[in-house]
Amino acid sequence: MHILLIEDDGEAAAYLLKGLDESGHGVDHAADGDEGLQLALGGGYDVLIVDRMMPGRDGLAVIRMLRAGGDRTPALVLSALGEVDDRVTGLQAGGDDYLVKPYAFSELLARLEALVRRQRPEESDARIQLADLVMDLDAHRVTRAGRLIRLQSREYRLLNFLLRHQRQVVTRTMLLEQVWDYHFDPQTNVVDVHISRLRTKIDRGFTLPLLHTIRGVGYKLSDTP
Amino acid sequence: MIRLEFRRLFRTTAVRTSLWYASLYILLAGAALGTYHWATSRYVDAQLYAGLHDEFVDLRNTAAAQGFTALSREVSSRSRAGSQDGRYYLLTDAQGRKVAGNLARWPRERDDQVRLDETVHTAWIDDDMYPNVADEDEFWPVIGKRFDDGSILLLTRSVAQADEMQLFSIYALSGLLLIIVLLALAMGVFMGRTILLRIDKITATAETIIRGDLSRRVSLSGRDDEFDELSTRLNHMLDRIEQLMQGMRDVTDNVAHDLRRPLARLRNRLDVILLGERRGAEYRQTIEESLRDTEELMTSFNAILQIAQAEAGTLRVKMQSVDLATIAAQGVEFYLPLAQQRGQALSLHTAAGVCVRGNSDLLSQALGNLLENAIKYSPRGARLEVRVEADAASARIGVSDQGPGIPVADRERVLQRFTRLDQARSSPGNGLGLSLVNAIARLHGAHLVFADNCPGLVVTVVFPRRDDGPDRKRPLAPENQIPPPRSEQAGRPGAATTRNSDLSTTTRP
Repeated sequence: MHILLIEDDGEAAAYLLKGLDESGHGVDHAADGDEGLQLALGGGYDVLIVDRMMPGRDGLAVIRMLRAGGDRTPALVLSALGEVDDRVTGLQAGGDDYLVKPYAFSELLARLEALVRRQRPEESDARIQLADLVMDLDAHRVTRAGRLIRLQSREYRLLNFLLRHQRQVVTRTMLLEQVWDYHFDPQTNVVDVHISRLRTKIDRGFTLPLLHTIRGVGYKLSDTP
Repeated sequence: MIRLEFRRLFRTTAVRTSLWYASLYILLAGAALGTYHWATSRYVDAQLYAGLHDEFVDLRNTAAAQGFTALSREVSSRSRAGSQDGRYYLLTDAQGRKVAGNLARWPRERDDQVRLDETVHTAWIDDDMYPNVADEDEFWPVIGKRFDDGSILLLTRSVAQADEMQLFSIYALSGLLLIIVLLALAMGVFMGRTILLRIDKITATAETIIRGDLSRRVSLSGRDDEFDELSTRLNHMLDRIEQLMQGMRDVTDNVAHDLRRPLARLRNRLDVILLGERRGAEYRQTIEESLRDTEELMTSFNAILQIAQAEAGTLRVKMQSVDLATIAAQGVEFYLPLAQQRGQALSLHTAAGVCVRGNSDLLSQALGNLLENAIKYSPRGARLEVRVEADAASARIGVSDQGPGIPVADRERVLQRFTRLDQARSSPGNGLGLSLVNAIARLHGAHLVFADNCPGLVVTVVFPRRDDGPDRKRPLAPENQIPPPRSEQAGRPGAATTRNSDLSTTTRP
């Protein structure tokens, strides 16, 4: 991924640059909104990481300018505020995802990959597939190796999200937001329980496990571990 | 100092108002006085004129009946008494020589001034014409007649007495006016002083509080007047502020107490790993453990922040119509697998479309916390229930469990941050759950009600139905005020009808 990081906090930026570099991504850094806007207008980035609070032109203003100019590069907004409505205003301004400081680096990385992947065209509008697991969107049917898998509606939504982000790590928070529309962290392992139920339905009786738990980060639906 | 007091007094509304009133009194009384003066002078003049005319008629009749000599006698006799009380007469013969009377001579330019037409009119009377020094020269009423034989009779009366009377009435009225004004001012000053004294009490209390003694309250006079009402409101406000301050202090203490432990653990672990040479796997394990600790700390910090914001009312959230039934259905669906994994039954009983004004994210979170507590503290095989009800008075969403419950004495304490009843702290969680639920409830103008489930606990969030919306107006009653427990209706498990009657403890926002 080619990433543009717009962040005025030098220490936070250095930490992100190092982390993203070690994860194998190319990163450019802009230390304020104006510089960030210049670089972003140059184009060629897969995703933008934009700090919301910056002196001068703030992050949301940068995104608004880009969107007004027709630039659809996905943008992840970083914020230290973390109130419910801040997320809403952040997304309304044209941000594609919103992450509140302090966050885990793995969370940021997972969300970046989800954003970039989302931009790529879907394989097919009618069906999504991973190995022998097939989701027929029109018929609302899931089969594995031709065998019908009965899912409840929320399990179907969960699997749909995992299939759309196949071979990517998705975090618990991403699942909570996207599948359940919940914006708080449960103090229990309730998401794990949902995942293990789904895993029982799609993996039990098959030699190749598809739904993997990535310790300390989240989950991955993939035919390669 | 006294000068300052005086100036302060005169800035009070009471004194200003009384000054306004005094000015108004002066205007009104001035107008009344003017009218009175005008009316009395008219009356006195009329009396004077009538008296003069009557006497003239009397003398004319005397002349007609008894002749000139009788008239001359009569005029002379009346002149003697007249000099004392301002009656003046002049009788001349046809040649204009004075025959009788106490007027020294004719008024000058008599043709212009004195008409001998037997009507009363005014003429200028000089002071050399009459003997009485008490009278003053001015226009006096005169009446005169030229008889057939050429003799002339002239009568006039001094206006000094009438003037004196009018002057007296002016003095009397002015005196009255002065008394009214002085009284108005005195009243104003008195009222101003009274109000200042009461205000000073409030100010003094405020000063003490500003200096740091938050326990001070404004004393009431017991008169149940507007000052008492104001003082009561102020005292309620101070109660609330003190509670908030206490809450801040508590949270500082609790943060120090509860966050220091995981921080210390984190630090020690990192210290120890640095002491000697370790293998890669050992480093990795330590780092992973440390990451988990920091995540736990972050979760606690976020929860504290959210509670603080909710309680301070600075959490800027969008309130809209939210269906509690939908929230409950989603919550039950979300937590059902977790309950089932622990062998618990989780059921939902909900009325359709129970709408309140609120924020669905926060309400979902509150229900989530309640459900997590219920699942965490109930044993295997327990029956858990989410119930959504509504009637004219309130909308309610409640979670019942079959856990150990919360003793009545502890029910207030569990709403405080970090309170966990299991002192060993064996189960996971940061002890912020219920206080966050409480904070979210209060943000919605709702309150928590704890009841016994026999065994277990029912926690209900009660949204009172108000016309003006629950998020705007909050009751003034001090929060966390716990009424004395009602008699417990214990020992009737499973009786659905007792569910609402066995509410024993209420906390109100």
